[in-house]
Amino acid sequence: MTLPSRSTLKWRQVSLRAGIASSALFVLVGLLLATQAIGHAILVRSNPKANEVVASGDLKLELEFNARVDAARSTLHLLLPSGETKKLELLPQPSPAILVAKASRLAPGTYSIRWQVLTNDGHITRGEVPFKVK
Amino acid sequence: MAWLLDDFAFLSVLLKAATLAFEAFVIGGLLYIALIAIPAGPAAQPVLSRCRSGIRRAAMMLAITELLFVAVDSAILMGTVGLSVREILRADYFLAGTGAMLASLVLFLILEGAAARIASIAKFLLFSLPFIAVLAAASVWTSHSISRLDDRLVTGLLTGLHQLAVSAWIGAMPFLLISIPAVTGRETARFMARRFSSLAMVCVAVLISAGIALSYFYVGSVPALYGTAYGFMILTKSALLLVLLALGGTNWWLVRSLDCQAWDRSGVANSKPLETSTQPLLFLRRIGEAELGIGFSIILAAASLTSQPPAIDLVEDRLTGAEIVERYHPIVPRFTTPSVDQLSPATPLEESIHSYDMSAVAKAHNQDPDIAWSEYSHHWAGLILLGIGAGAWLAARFPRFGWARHWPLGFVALAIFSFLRGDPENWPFGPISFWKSFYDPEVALHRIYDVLIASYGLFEWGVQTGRLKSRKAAYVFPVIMALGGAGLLLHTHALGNVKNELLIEMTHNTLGVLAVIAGWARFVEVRLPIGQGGRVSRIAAQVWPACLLLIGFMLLNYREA
Repeated sequence: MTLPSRSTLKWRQVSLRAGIASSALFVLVGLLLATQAIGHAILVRSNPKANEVVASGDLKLELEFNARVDAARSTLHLLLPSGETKKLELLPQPSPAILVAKASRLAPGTYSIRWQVLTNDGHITRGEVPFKVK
Repeated sequence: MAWLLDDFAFLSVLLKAATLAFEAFVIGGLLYIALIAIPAGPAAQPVLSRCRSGIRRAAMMLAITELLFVAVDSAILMGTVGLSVREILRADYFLAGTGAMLASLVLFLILEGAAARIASIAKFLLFSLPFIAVLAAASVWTSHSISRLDDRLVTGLLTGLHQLAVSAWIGAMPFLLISIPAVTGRETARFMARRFSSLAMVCVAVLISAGIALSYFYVGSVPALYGTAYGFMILTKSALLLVLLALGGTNWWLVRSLDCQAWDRSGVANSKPLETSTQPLLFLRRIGEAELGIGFSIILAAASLTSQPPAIDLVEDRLTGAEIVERYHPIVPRFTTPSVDQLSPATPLEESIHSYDMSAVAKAHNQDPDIAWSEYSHHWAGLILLGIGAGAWLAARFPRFGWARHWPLGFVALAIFSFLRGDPENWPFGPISFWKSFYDPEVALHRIYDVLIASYGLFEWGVQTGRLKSRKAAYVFPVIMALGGAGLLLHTHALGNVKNELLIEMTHNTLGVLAVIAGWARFVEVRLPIGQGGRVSRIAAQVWPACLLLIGFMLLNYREA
């Protein structure tokens, strides 16, 4: 039986290591090909409702989720008709799953509430509630 | 930092899977020493130091992954909400993660010194209990139960029981696998295997019972089970569990056959390591390795579940049975493709990164021609997979068809096809040049993935044709396939339509399960000694090509609308 030459053995060794390294990279790249943020807090009720038309002036915003949210580490922003974003100050929570804020002197136009919440188990979710002011 | 939320959110799921896995190994290792190794007596002494070493490594990895998990979440919060470090310190996830990290580090530091001298079951359990309690509590504290509005205590207890049962079974399994070659004397090996088998049966009963009870709180109804992503992931976990139980049943039978098997016909206690035996213990180890791999896939699915809303909360956009049947009834595959001009224009990179509503972005990019393009691509990928599966089966079943051994080159063809069809707005079909296409991170990752698929196909071709003779080289294909399948369980697609996304996720989950089964079946076949694998090897050799064929058929039937 003829033994493989040294160069053949070296080629096989290099090939094996290259195969293992590329396999590790294969898995890493594959796992990075995710496309969507995921979190498990979902909006079950909001005031205003999505795409609702409300009167101008002051508006109490209320968002209710399916889970307890950490209000101290969650945010509500209001996207104004001008395209600017205004951070809203959160009011005391009436329940662990509800975020409340107040938007003052809303002029007619298209708005959107942008929310980001942290649930107690550490998951971060965000979403948007568009509405109109007449 | 907001645009990183998408990628880091996925990273946090991966880290969650890692923390669950390492936590299982730490807790499982401690329970294995207390309930199996120590009771085995002095003959198991060589085992104890190996087990302690394994637990220390798992503890260090757990500490690192907990640190990363906390760091990732904190980085996102500080970047998006503008919180200070002091405000982060009081968050529940931070406290739980830090507690688990500290417990792991302390265990890593003191296990070899303090625990090495403990020879009593009760004392070792007393030593282990604080660490097990802290790790279990931290895990429950970052589970769904802590965020529920009602029934937090009950769901928390059930979650803890479920995870402890997984730890004592799957988490303890690596320690059984490293014990067997270290033990001298068949009586000791038989004792440990039988004791582990009994422990495993108790754990299976506990985890199934706790799992069913948790499903009552988190799923609530049968329509929610098949109509939501959460519910279908539960079904996916259950399917993998059934495979695991089948393998476990085989091992149970092997353990019982240890009582009848005579390795040393003279009746004298054999002092040689039992690793060299080709009898039940070897089969038990090989099948145990596959069990461990599939168990890890189940843990990955569990990590995915932690980031999804419970099915009971999703009352809108649930799939109905009729919709599922309508989507999956067999169709004639697409053999015509829309032209590139008919596809939707590419979304500017800035817009896709900064959008708060990914589904709206995806919806704009998912019109009828886009769907047709994608379905055509998937159907042809299915044909290629059918060719690969058929070639693999022929090569294994009929060695005289030497040309069938070249079946891995099908992956090279798949990679080229994917490169050409995967991102149509880029070179060669679209207006974006080859080099500019790399500015888009997702396109860049696709390109890298295609190169890796081709490399992987060439590598396995080297193994099949004998150009790569190393035994280790033969493990690459099955392990990659199994890991890729497990990764599919985490993969999601934003299409702008919730029901369509759910239906595609069902396909992904099923493909993932098939890939996991195929990978570990091939792994068992390769790991068993050549020519001595018996019925186990013959079954494994049929299973993995069949799974590849099924994957091909599923892709041929793939639809996005």
